[in-house]
Amino acid sequence: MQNTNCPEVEKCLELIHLVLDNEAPAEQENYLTEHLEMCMQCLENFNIEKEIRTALKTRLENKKVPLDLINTIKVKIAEID
Amino acid sequence: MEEDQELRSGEENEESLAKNNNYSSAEKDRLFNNEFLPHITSMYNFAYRLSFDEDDAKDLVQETYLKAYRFINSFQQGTNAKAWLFRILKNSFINEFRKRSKEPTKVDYQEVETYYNSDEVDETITTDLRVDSLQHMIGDEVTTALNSLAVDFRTVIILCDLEDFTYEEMAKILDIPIGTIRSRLHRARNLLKERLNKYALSMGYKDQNNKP
Ligand SMILES: [Zn+2]
Repeated sequence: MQNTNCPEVEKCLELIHLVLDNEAPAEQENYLTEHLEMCMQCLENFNIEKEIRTALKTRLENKKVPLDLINTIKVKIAEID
Repeated sequence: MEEDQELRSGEENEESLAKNNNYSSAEKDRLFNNEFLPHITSMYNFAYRLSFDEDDAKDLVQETYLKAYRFINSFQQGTNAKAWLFRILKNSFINEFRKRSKEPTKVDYQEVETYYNSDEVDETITTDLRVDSLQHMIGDEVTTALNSLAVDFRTVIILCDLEDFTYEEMAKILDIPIGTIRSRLHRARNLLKERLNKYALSMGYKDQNNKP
């Protein structure tokens, strides 16, 4: 992979975040798509950012809610009424 | 009442006060069971990732649901119940749990706030982090990297990447402007990437990848 130096790498990274967060207007998203076709450095950044999100989503351990918690809440609420 | 204030402040104040509801018992139960309780797993995990303690997480969730029930009339049907609950939980955490939380790297809230708001340009973080090194990482490494972030940085990552809240919802949950959400997230992600990069290097993923 050619190690091109993107003159706007920081700005592009901000845009990458917006796009991956679904917060970028369509116009900016199109701009990024086109840019990534030409810029290997930003494409690499894009893939890394995407992979970090995947890692967070899929590899963090989720705790199970303690069995008695819902019941305790329901009992306390019945007391409020 | 103090708590009442807490639940309302930061929302579209006058509007939400004006539209205070008067739900019947049956409506309350329906809202509570169908709109609030289904979020309990997300809430518990959020609480745990804030407090790092199972008992604290349990207390936080319980307190949040009790508050939600007591102030159910200020919840507008059809609005985002999950965001509303997360906001209550986050406020409870700040008010009561933060002081005594067992968080290893405790950072003063004000200090962090000043740090973001400084005009200092975000330093470019260049890492050698690669997609394949990330793919080799296990849950423990990702967890440790996330947990090592100061609570405010950790929070925005959790809300955005794990819970899929929009920036607008996050702004309401955290009572900060969208611009701050954006910059805080940007910084949080850079820090997280840096930590992950350190793991990748220490685990020798990079060397492994460089083998012919
Ligand atoms: Zn570029």
